[in-house]
Amino acid sequence: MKELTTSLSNLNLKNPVMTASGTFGFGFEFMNFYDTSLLGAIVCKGISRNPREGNRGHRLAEINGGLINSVGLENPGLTDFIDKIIPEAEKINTTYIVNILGSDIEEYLYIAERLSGLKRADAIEVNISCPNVKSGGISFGKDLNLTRELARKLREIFPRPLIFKVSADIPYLEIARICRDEGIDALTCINTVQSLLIDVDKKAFRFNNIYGGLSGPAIKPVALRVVYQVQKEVGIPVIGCGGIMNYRDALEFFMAGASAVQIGTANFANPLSAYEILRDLSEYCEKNNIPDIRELRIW
Amino acid sequence: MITYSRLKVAHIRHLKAGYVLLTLLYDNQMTPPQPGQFFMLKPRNTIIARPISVHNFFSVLKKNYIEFLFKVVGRGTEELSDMKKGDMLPVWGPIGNSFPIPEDKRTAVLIAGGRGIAPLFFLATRLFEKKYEIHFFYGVKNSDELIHLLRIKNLSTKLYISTEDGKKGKKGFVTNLFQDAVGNYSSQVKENLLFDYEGKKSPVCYVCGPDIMIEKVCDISLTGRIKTYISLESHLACGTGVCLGCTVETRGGRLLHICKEGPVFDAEEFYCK
Ligand SMILES: Cc1cc2nc3c(=O)[nH]c(=O)nc-3n(C[C@H](O)[C@H](O)[C@H](O)COP(=O)(O)OP(=O)(O)OC[C@H]3O[C@@H](n4cnc5c(N)ncnc54)[C@H](O)[C@@H]3O)c2cc1C
Ligand SMILES: Cc1cc2nc3c(=O)[nH]c(=O)nc-3n(C[C@H](O)[C@H](O)[C@H](O)COP(=O)(O)O)c2cc1C
Ligand code: FES
Repeated sequence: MKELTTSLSNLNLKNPVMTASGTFGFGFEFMNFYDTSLLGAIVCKGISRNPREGNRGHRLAEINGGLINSVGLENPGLTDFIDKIIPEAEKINTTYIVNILGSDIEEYLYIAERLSGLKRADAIEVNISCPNVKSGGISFGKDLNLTRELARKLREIFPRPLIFKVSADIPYLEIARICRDEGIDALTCINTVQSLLIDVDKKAFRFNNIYGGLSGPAIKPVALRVVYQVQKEVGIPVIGCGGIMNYRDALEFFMAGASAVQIGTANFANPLSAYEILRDLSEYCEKNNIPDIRELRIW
Repeated sequence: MITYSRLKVAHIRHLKAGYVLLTLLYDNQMTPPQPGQFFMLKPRNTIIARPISVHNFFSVLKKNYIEFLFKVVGRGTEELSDMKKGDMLPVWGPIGNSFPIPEDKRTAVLIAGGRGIAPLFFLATRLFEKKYEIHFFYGVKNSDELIHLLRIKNLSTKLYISTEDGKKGKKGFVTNLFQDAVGNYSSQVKENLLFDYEGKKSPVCYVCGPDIMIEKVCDISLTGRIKTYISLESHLACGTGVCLGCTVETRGGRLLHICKEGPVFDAEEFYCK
């Protein structure tokens, strides 16, 4: 395979294909399918300070062109993550990025502080689309002052690359500026799109939580919009994510200005997806004589 | 171990009432499946794959075949039903735990409702090979939904059929049949009595079907202190333990994952004695 190294500020990757949080477990679950060390990076399921059970009731629904989930950020919590999962993840020989979430600034800082002492946490991806308890459940990213405070404080305590992950439902351009100014290395665009599904027969909301997050091909054009705008208006390095099902979808993101991509829902459609996208992408670059993926940008 | 492969359609049969029997040539690199386990089958045009239980696993002329029995209920199963002989179908599995089979040869009671027959048929073939006594309860809505009746009859020591239209077997629900057989020693249905406990071990029950049927069966079996295993459904996306979408809630409010802790569970986790 052709070498496709890429870098996003201080985050250096052996290739630009990574997995999206919540769609690839902790990376070793897919070892039966292929050697996941081949990927540019693995982003693990979002980790909170304490274990989270997630939502009750239905959690998934497929719609035309997409998947809606209402998993509710179920995860084993930081202590189990460090004691039980990290030792397993040591086997994976590629960049390991820990996705984190919090219900207040203190929670994010607590997690980042503990991860800073762990060699295996090569980088942190910060999910700021979670509801913030202290501001009445409004998502973190909607409060720009809070986002700035979070970025600044995380930058102070975590010495390795920091990525913020935005959705299209929060003011991503303002956040991108804040992140650039506070020394955040990259922005992942985008998280799932807030959605709502109604069960007509039952005359009820499909999910206990009412809302779910839409992923898959349906959100790709939205994701491309965000990638392009953030690149053009702000210029912070971008990791494109949303509806990438094959290498041509990935190419669209590089052409829009992304420096790397994340594969999410595609891992469910075919557990080999991330590997196959990497393989096909590298073949494409070889054939078309593209030394650096960032040269694919069309503007 | 769960692995991925593309299996060739060896045979596809459209049965009555929207049921489809799909036979695939097995990839011998994959782990052989156990009764209760399932595979993710990926239709070409859906976003996510569909979980389908192993219905049979057998070899003919040194080739292994895996069989799935499913009912067409929506887009995914519709597309799967359009597969043609020779087509390649992406699958991954075998997934999940399997029906525990007790070491001692106690009587096995299998209770299937509708498409719940799919995994229980496979279980019956295995129990039969191991020379277990099998009491098979099989209920459907319309009599044309009854699948493999002759084969099931041959596997079973005793077969009880119920249909809601009353055209075959006893009219009504399979739960009523089961109730009659288990319960009420003093009733008229003496010749139907299943459990002659004297000198015998209590049987073991395996149940698969609609939730409401499972609940009623468990109510009866657990009251009779019969060890009961149930196979449950939920909506799945990955089948590999990573999407965390496939939860079911236990009686105590715990959330378990069909593809990791299931699909077979001890009934006591979900229903009260
Ligand atoms: C572990 C497991 C094993 C299964 N084994 C079999 C089998 O052997 N044979 C068989 O016929 N079916 C089986 N099913 C059910 C089968 O997976 C669903 O019927 C199928 O996914 C429906 O897909 P669809 O696209 O055709 O329908 P959709 O368009 O997705 O849905 C049609 C209708 O079915 C309901 N539905 C969809 N998926 C499920 C589900 N997983 N559980 C309950 N209701 C659902 C939907 O709410 C909707 O009302 C199994 C399910 C599980 C979880
Ligand atoms: C089932 C599921 C769980 C997810 N869990 C997380 C999570 O824990 N943290 C996070 O930042 N994003 C999570 N996501 C969002 C994905 O990482 C990704 O941003 C989104 O799905 C869009 O990409 P896709 O269309 O390729 O799936 C999840 C997505 C899905 C479908
Ligand atoms: S189906 Fe994805 S975790 Fe069970």
